[in-house]
Amino acid sequence: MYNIYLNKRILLPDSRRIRKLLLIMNPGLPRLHGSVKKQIIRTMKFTTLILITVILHVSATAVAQKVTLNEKNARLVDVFNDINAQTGYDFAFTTTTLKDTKPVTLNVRNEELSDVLTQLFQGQNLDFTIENKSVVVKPKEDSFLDNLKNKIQTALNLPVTVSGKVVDGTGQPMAGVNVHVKANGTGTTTDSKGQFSLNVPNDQTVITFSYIGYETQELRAKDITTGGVITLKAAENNLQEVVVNKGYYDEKQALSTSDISTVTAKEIAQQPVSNVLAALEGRVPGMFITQGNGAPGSGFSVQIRGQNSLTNGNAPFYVIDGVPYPSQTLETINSVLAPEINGQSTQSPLNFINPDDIESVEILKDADATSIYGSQAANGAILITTKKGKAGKTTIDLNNYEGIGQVTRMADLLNTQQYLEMRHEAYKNDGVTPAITDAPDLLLWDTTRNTNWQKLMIGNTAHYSKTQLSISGGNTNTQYLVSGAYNDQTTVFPNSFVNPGSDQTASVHFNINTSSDDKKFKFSVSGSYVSDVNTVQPTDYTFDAFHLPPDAPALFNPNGTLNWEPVAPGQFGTWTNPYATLYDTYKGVTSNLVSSGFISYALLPGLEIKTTFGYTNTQTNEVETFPTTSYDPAYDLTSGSSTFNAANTHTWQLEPQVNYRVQIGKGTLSALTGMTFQENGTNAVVTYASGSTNDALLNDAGAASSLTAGANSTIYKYIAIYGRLNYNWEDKYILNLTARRDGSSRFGPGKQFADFGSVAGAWLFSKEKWVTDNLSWLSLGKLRASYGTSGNDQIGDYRYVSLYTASSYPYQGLQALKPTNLSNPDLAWESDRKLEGGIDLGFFNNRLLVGASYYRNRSSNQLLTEPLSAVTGFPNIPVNLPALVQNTGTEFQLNTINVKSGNFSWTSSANLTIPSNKLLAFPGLSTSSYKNAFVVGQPINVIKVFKSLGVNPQTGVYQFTAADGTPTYTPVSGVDNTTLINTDPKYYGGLENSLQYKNLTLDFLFQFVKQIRQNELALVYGGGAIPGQASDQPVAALNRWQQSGDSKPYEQFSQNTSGMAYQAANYFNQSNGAYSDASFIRLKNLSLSYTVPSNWKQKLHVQNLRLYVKGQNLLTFTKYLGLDPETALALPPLRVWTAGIQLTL
Amino acid sequence: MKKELKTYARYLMVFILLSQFGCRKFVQLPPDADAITASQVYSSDASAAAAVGNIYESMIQANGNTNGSTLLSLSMIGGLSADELKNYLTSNAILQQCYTNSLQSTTSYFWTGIFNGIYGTNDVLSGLASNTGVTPAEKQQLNGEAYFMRAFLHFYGTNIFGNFPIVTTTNYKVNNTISRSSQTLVYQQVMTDLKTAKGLLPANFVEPTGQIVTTERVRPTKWAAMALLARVYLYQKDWADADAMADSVINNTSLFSLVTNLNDVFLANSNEAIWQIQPVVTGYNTFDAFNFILTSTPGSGTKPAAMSNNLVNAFEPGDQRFVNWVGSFISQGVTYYYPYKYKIGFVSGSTSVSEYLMIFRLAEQYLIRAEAEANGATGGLNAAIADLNLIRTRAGLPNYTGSATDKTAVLNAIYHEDQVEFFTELGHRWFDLQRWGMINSVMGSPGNVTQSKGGSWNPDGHQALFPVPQTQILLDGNLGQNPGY
Repeated sequence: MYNIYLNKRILLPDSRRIRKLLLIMNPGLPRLHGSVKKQIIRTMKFTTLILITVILHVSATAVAQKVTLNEKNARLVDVFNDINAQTGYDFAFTTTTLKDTKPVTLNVRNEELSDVLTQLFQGQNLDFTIENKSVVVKPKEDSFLDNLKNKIQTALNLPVTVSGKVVDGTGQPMAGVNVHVKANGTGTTTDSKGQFSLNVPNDQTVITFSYIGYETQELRAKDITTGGVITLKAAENNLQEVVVNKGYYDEKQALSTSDISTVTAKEIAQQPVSNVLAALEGRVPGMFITQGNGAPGSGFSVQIRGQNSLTNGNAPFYVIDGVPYPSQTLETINSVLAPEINGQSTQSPLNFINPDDIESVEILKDADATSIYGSQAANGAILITTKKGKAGKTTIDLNNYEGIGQVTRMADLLNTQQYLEMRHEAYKNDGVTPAITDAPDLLLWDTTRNTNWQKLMIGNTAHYSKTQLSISGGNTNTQYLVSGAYNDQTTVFPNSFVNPGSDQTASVHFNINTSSDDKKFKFSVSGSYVSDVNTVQPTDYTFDAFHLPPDAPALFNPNGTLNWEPVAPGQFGTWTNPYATLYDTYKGVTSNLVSSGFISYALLPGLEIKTTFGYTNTQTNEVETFPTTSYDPAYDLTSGSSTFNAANTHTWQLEPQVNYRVQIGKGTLSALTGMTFQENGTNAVVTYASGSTNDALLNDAGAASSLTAGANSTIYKYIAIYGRLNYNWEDKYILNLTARRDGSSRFGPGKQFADFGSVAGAWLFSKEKWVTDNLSWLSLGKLRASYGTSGNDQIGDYRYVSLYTASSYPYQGLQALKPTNLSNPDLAWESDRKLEGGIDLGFFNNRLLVGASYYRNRSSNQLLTEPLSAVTGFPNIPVNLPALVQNTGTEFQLNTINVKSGNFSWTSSANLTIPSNKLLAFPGLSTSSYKNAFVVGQPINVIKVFKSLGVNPQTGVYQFTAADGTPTYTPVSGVDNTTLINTDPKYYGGLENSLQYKNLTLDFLFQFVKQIRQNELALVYGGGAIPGQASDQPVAALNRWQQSGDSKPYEQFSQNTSGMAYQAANYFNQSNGAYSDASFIRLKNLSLSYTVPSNWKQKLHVQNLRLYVKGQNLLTFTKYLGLDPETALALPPLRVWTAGIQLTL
Repeated sequence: MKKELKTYARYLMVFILLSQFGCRKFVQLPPDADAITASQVYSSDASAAAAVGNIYESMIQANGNTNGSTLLSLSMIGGLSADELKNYLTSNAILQQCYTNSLQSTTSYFWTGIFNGIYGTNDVLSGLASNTGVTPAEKQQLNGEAYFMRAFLHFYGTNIFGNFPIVTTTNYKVNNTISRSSQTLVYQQVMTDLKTAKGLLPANFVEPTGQIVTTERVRPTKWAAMALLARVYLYQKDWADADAMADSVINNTSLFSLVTNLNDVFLANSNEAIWQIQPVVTGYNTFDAFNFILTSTPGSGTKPAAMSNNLVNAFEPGDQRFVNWVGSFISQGVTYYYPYKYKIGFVSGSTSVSEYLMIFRLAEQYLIRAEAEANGATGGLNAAIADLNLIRTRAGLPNYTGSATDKTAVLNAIYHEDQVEFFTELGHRWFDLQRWGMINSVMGSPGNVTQSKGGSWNPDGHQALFPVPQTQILLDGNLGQNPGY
């Protein structure tokens, strides 16, 4: 009935001993507990594959009972083997007994077995007895007296004295180690022999042992045997020891078959950001993040390993605490909050998650990690784990900071004198005399004025403040955490006349975990609720700041009203006063609920059933008003207008799953299977209102005489069954298989289901004997590879079916129904095949960690809208085309501990990504409507532009090379745009340093991007005005052609919108001349913090007190001549400085 | 234990099967809150009628009168192309191209809108055929309307573009590579559809559902099918059939009669109306009124044009149509004349619409009959003159005084009457000039219309047909371009 395995390893040390490798029942073995027996029987019924006990059985040859050991972080079971080899003593135990044992470091020479065993079990929660040449290992049971003593001590809360010795990993005593009561910081330090003695309130008191450069240990007083030895582990670069979250399961980074990047709360906390995405920029290899603009609450574009889909969603799959979170927000009517990047609106739903509530962010990139998410994770997955309660005394943490922000860069623009010179020259070039109607800036306005519009419109100071309070604590069974935060940010725009133009967020987050005494039953629930009130002006004033003439009139009339500078009173103004839109108002109120939880029960050892559930709900109400006061009074408008948006989206999800873990041979098999049920619904109603009698009534749709509304409502349903099998052979060879079968409502009957899967393996060659014996400096060596599939269903809902919606008006009293699209019932997933290989190396006890990955993603079956002849009744139809997009790349990651001495430590980490994107195939491209958008063999973001020949020295106008090589002034779109420009980043990455000296910590991150983007010439010619027209220009524009023979980068000044120069400027804007290097290196983040010394903390009766200064986007090094290389024409990202204080009670 | 395993395996299989079934059900979506599917549309009389209503609604709801996005912009664009209107908004490329007869294949006129409508008709036909929820009587009426509208749209299509695709399915795979058919074949299809429609459509004006008779003349009846048939026969010079068909319509005196007060002709549901389309956009009567009636000097975005001298001079002295159907606006001493058949542009929100856009009216049937008779149909020249005089009398003009035996003279009189009766009505004049074979002489002779408009007319007459948009030829190479573009 019992499976008894003879451990092979014990044969190895002494081959003279011959043993039978048989499944036998040894009558001499200790009796198994009845309950264990029952369990075993039950387990056996369930599967025959479970290993219950490991019995080391050897013949009882008389051997010396002296033992010599030199173990370092060894598994207990391995030490048993060694002792067995030396003494012949068997060890009897159950696997569950050894489940929670700690690694052993022991250095003994020729000592008595019993002494060695005593030392060995020191600090382990185990007892042993020696019976009949066997060592029987049992869970520790206190003796009756001990029990009584403990109970009395606990009940009476009697003070106890603990004493002992602290040693390092080599057994050397450590002097000066801080030995503190965790709760209040009182304590002592070890003496020169490493010894200490401390009186503590009771035996439950948690005592911390800390020393710079070593990992802090926490022990309860009752676990410290008088005179016991406490070993402190050197704080190595433990990145590889980190446990990473792979969504449905966790694994140790060192043993992971995947490529996962983790950004932790610590790194997020260093940055004064309101959206966690801003904190990830430059930190994660393979992830490229671009900020849309510098307005608070604005969006980001996020791409993991490039663009896989030609025209559909390239957003990663977001998961918060196991529940999918939308990658797109509800539509906003405020365009400043949803800037477009590469043609995609980017408002970020993560604005409604408080970054300080996030414990970690995991970025899943390869097939091994993403295939289990099936059709949703072709673009990678971002898993966000929120903070959880931790056992211990109730801790109150209060954090508050205040700060300021300003735009990172301003452009160098013409002053009035230079501007007027440009204007006059333009008129002269055109042979036209300026008239007051077309040149009020020359003939009407006060030409002695010189306004710095950049300073006025985007040069203000934004204010930041944030307060966060969290309370956490609990016991071993139940832990809780509750936090609340208030965050307020203003803009660099001028203050609106109506409301402050700010983004205010109040948030609450909570988490409760509980488990039964036997830890079999677990329950956890988490929730976050964010209420956001955003009143950021719906106008980005950057355009005005850049283009308003420097001699533009005063903003206000002497009587305080807006100045429109008409030629004569009552006439239309000669300019558009930029302050007019400050009368417009915007108010967006968003509430966001994210909740999740799980219940789990361990049916049997190794077998756990679990159900996770989640619900998210986002509700937005927006009002934008355009009162009559924001228009030139000459329009004589009698009523303004307003736009209302009410939208909500919800997701619910239910995921039952079963986990199973079993020892097979020398390996561990982990299996997981589960199902997903998910539904997402969105509703939105946008109402345009006009005709109210008074501007004061604009916020009331009921007051409008005319209302038109548009509504949109969708439902998305998703179901899946998934599984994972992992086999780990001695932490050396690891195989990981995942699979998922998905069904999505976005596809028609027969096409709704698809299968995805991956296979991955890792080989930790550093565990091989030939490495441990010969290459002791190699502390980690891992090779890993994976291949698998995933899909993309981000194509919008209902695209496979023909739908009818209500048309605008009724006909003959009956609301007409309009067919909205052509249907393609054959629509199916975009499929993505991912291949990855990687190597991870750790040197010198992991003080130097190097990782490199190569990936190749091929995305096919692309969902495109195939343009159709209008004869079909519609312009296009969604289809799957066998176009193939390939993303390849190499990612490097380096972590080093540069210096680690008593008071000073310095660590660095760097990452570099070299991506490459290529359209491998696109059948029928030349005849499709995409023929100008894509080129086979080129990146999909390649832009076909004209080839600029620069300014013709004779005519002073830009010239281009036609397709046949001849120069032309009028290149033809679709024919002559043969030059290719790739705007994808060539490489990007970050360099992070962390320095610590005593209580002072300094962290800083440099981000770098090598890329080509539209340059300042595009700014000059892309603003709708060319140099010479009534629009300010960069100073560089002065380097223009003036007379025949001039060889200059800028063409002649002209103010004529139908002239040759104007036309040429338009073509120039679509030429390679409008693109140049926009690479940059940015000091993205700097954080300096000071923790007050322990004795101060004691005096202040606080656990911790920290003061800090944080900065974001502090320095930018670039050759780019426009505003900012990241945001191009929009409001640049802000340089933010904050200072704060964190207090822990 | 083996037995137990087997039991477990069985349970597992049942579970998997059940969950597969459940999966399929789970991802079947309920109908969207703001959109419904074809099977739902054609499950009831009302929603099926609503789908047909959309064909009319989408034609009239856009103010396409200045860009050729809907057929109904023919009043403006046809008028500019021919000799009826003068363009003052020269900055508008589309209007100026039409006005100077220098059409560009890079511009899209009419093409998209027509096919959108044709899709609607075919969608109704296939929806009604493949679903059973609509009552037989309703189904018959809606099928009739769909056939009629398909014919109507093809008729205009072939007159604007010449050779034209015959589209009788919603299958995009067929339509995406379709070729254009000769006008003869298009007309055959049009006649087939109209005959079918004639057999299906009701003899009275009815409500959208329930076949309830109404005074609202906004849905096509069998008389609309016959009126269009009469025109189709006329355009093909099938004089006998044109005569007979027009005769039948005219003889339905219980429904149709010439309205004596000229100012009442274009009112909603006037007795002269064989089919009108109801304006739907709140705040407007017809867009023709909105665009033509001058309230400021022509040349603004919504008032681009005024009547040409050519048209103004075409009226005989005493023609009451000039008095009642032509308006004038004086600005800085210059008098601009404008079409004033429709009297009201804007209406205030709550006011109901008083004028409907006239598509077929009885006067045309009289002139069709007259032209057919003059060309040899039963009745001959005398009958032709009698019909002509009916129209002249209504216009306050004396009877025809020319030769009663000279066919050419009678025809010319009819042609002239067409010009002043149907000016700026949906491109009537533009099509007449083509079918009469007069377009080259009117538009092209030296010093004549096109030249006076600032363009030039090619003697090959290719400008009579609009170009197929170049972008569409790239999408469907089988379409081919009209000669000259």
